[in-house]
Amino acid sequence: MNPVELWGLIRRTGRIAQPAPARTTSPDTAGDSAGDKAGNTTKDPAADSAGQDLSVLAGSVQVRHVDCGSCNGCEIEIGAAFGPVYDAERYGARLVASPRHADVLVVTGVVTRNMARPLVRTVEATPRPRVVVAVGDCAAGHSVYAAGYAVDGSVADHVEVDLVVPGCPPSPDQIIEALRRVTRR
Amino acid sequence: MTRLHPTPSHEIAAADLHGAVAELLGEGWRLALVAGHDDPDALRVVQLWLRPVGERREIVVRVSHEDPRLPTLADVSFPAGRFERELLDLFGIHPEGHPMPQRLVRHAHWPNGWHPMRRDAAADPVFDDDLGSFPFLQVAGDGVYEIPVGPIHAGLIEPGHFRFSVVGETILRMKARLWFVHRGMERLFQGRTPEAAIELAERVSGDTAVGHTLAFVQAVEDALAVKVDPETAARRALLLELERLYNHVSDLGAMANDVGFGIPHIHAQRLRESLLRHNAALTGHRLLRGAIGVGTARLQCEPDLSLIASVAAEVVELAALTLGHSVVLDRFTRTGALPAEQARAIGVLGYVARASGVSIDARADHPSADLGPDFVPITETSADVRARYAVRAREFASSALLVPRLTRLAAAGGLGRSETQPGPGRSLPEVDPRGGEARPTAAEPRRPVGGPCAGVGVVEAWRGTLCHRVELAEDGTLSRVKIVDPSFFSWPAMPVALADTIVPDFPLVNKSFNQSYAGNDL
Repeated sequence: MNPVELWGLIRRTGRIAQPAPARTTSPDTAGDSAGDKAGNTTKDPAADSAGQDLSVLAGSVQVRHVDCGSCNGCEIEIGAAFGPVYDAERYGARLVASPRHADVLVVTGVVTRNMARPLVRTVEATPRPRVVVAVGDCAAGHSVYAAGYAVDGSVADHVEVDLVVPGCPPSPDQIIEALRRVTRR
Repeated sequence: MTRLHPTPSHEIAAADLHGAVAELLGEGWRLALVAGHDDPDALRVVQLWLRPVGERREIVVRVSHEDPRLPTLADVSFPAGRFERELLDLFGIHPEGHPMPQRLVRHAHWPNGWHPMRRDAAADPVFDDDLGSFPFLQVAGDGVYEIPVGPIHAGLIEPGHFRFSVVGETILRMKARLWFVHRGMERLFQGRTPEAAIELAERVSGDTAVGHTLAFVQAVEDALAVKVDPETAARRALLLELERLYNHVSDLGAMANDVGFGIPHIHAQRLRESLLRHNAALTGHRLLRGAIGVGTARLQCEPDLSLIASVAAEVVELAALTLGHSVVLDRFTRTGALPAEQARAIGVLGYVARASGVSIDARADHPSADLGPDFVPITETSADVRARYAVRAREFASSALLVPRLTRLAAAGGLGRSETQPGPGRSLPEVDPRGGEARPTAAEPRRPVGGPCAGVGVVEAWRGTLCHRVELAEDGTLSRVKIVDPSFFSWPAMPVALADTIVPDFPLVNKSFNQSYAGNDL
């Protein structure tokens, strides 16, 4: 490898991350906004399902992803959200390898019969306070697979869901917006 | 069942199956798909065989509901043995003499005797743990230990369970257990009109929306004898190449990242994002959904040829930086090798096969669009991670060259838009169906002329050759859809490539294969 070429690439490209969009909900209005038309939660979560204060998570959260029956479309957009253009890390959200390291679980997909138990056990393995974000229409309970014989309900049928990001798949911007509701940045 | 489609079909007795299959294999045919059907009078198994260039053949065998047994073909064809395990799980057809008839689709807690693709399968049986019925092989010996991984992995990937038997750092044996994201896709198609099933085809494997939708509509068009004009075929081929581009570029970066060379990964993600935005401008969807329908392919604007050319130039630069790095090259070379002989025996497809020197590419073998005289499948011979990287880097360049050609061919037909706005309702195609059936409306599906019919679609998606086979009932609704993602063929090769590889190279080898879980599990 020619290091001059590598430096050339880096210098020529310049900044990859796009400018940060403004936050849509301020932390002060948390709890005031109602659910949207589809019944999705759009307010900032103030407390997790056990009533624990989530403000301790403000600033920085560790995120674990769980696919429990997605087509892998949502994974493409979550990957983009954590990639260099959308750059979720600048808002304090970072992907980690284990639920035991995580504050936030990003769950995608309908719940298949073969993933129901791993999903529940992953949520149980995540320390409190924790936030479960259902990403995508499948996880939100509006899945095209809902009638499948191998499907065992949706995410909310198995675990408490704190935030929902609708879309098939949601755009990286929408995923970032949900994460910023948690990090409040 | 009346057959209208041009695939020659031969019904044979179960006792003659083994001989007939051995003969086909000897004549250079490849088993591409096996579909079970629960007909009122019998269980029916249809095998689709392919041979270059463009040859197709089907073999049909029937077994009774009372005694559903077929002689196994696992001794002559590894993929056939896997299809048999799928048939056992979903239809309860027993492969007699199969060397390893364990469950594949149904995990341990699925009830015994419940075969969900049977008509009379109970709607909601009791699921209960029976782990003993689904054991892992134990590797014994001094210093051998097991590493269980998954179903939830450390990275941002789909679920699957891997069990490594290891001595020191070296993998002795690796077993992959999949079907964690089995949703029952094929049954969801049943009873829908082809138009209403497009949304399912687009979501078989999210990263292969074009590949699956195209194979599906080709199968429907084959069944209904719908002709597609060359401009539409070119637009479809263009979409297929755009799907290859956005998937190849990110894996080229991810492979570099897996050996600690992060800068190409960042730039590859930047390039992928520009391709995804181009996809959205072209089709209204970042993953290219909504563009392909039965008889149609629509674009919302012309492709941006200068963008594709500049991304292609940058990918050349990234590949040169990556393969020019001595540490990267050292990690890639001789890692995860899959010898050609093994690749052929397992029936591997796509870039994994081509990196092992097996030239198999449906764009050349079963063409549905004119890619020009310059198009040739890209192969490498070293069969390792480096070869898989090189095949994909070269395919990126080759696809990027096909884009302007296909854009030119498609231009003769405009963008393929009808007067109405494309959308979820999808206005129906204004094609000229042979046989004189009335032009269908959204409310009334196109009816097959001579009663029920069947068709197949074969497409070279970015991971490899992908097949759909559909059957349509008299009222024009889907009575059966069988889907075979190339991942079904290629997954079993990964444990073979991992033998004698060290555990820390597993993520690299896995990324160099990058098979679909959703497409495999269905």
